[in-house]
Amino acid sequence: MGLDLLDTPVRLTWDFPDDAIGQTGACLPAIADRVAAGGVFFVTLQGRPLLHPATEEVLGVFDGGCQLLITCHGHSDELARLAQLPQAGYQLLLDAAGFIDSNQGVDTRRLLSVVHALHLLECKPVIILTPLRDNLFYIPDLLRFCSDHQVAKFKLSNAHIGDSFHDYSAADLPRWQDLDLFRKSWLEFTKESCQLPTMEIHDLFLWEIMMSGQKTAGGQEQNRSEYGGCQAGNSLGHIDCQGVVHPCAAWPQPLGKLPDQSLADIWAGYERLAVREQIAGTPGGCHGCSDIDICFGGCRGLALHLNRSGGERDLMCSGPR
Amino acid sequence: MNKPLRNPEIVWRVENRRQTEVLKALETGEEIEDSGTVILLQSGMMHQLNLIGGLIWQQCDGQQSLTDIAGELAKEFTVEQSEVESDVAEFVADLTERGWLINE
Repeated sequence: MGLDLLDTPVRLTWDFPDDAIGQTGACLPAIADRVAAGGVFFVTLQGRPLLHPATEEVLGVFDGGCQLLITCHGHSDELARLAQLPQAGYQLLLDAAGFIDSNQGVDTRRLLSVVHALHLLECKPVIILTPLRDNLFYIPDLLRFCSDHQVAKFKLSNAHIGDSFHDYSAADLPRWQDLDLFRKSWLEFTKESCQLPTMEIHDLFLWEIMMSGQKTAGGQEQNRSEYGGCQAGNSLGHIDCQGVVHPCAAWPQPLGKLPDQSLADIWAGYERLAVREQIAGTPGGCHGCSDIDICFGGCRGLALHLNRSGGERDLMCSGPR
Repeated sequence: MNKPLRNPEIVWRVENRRQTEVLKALETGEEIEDSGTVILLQSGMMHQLNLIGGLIWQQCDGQQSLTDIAGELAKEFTVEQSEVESDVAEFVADLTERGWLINE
């Protein structure tokens, strides 16, 4: 079986090592070759990929129909490297986390100076954020910023656990109580006439709050009817700094290793199929819930690893309805 | 449009295995018109291009003119260039109207 026979467009996140952790990255182009050969549609380089010497070579490998997304934190050394890279062939994701102080809020002046610097490099960034308890309530501020400064897209990505760069614990991540409060502040925000950017929201529970009732560019109401539950190991995958493939960035379980194995072999392997089988079951904490056919248990990776005591129920779910 | 360029917003890939199968089918004279060999993903929708469409799509790199593309296609299928020129132009015009190709 090859990935080219699957109907699901696969998205991979890849924790790109940097010099700071002492890896030369000699095998990175080989890993990229394996990913490209697998027919993956989207690859997001995470960490500080702009600082790695192999980045340009990796860019060359994905010089086809695959969409490459590169994470940037807006640091001066990253911008200097960006100026040396080709301008086409990738999309830049500007991580807003470093511009938020949990007490002071969003440092819009510094964020704006970075966005301007990126514009000078003819780069129009997507602003991204991993929603955490500390920054959840600053999302409207970031959306106002996008609106004021013509940032066309805003993305709320999923939380990573158990990898080299992030290791969020359950205490860092939003819980249902936080979501209840956020819902109220979001309703207040929606009373403003703020022109929202295109939003991509990974988490189903946040999506419900922020996107329900919104219209698409074509005037149709947003829906997530195609949502078929947790996509870990199906349309989602994650590669860590060592080339080990996981079902998702929020599911730290090895499925195989690149470039030693091909992605197609890893995807056809027992480990991935076992993950999909596990996802097909209902988490213990969801039994009897009337909404299980809507959320399918939500984010199963985070729930499995961080909410065992809650019957592996999604951290943002208040309980069976 | 002198040199068509694929819209960089569109994510796509060649379905190598299917392409090999379709090429084999073509050799044996089977109908291949509806067999997709290139998948395009645009705004969450997946689309397929058949063998000829997929080959044209792969040539649309902003460097080649319609004449160049027709020439490549004619070489690939050992036919006269004049036989494929209008098909290439029509296909490119259709994809341009959809926004999948842009002027370069």
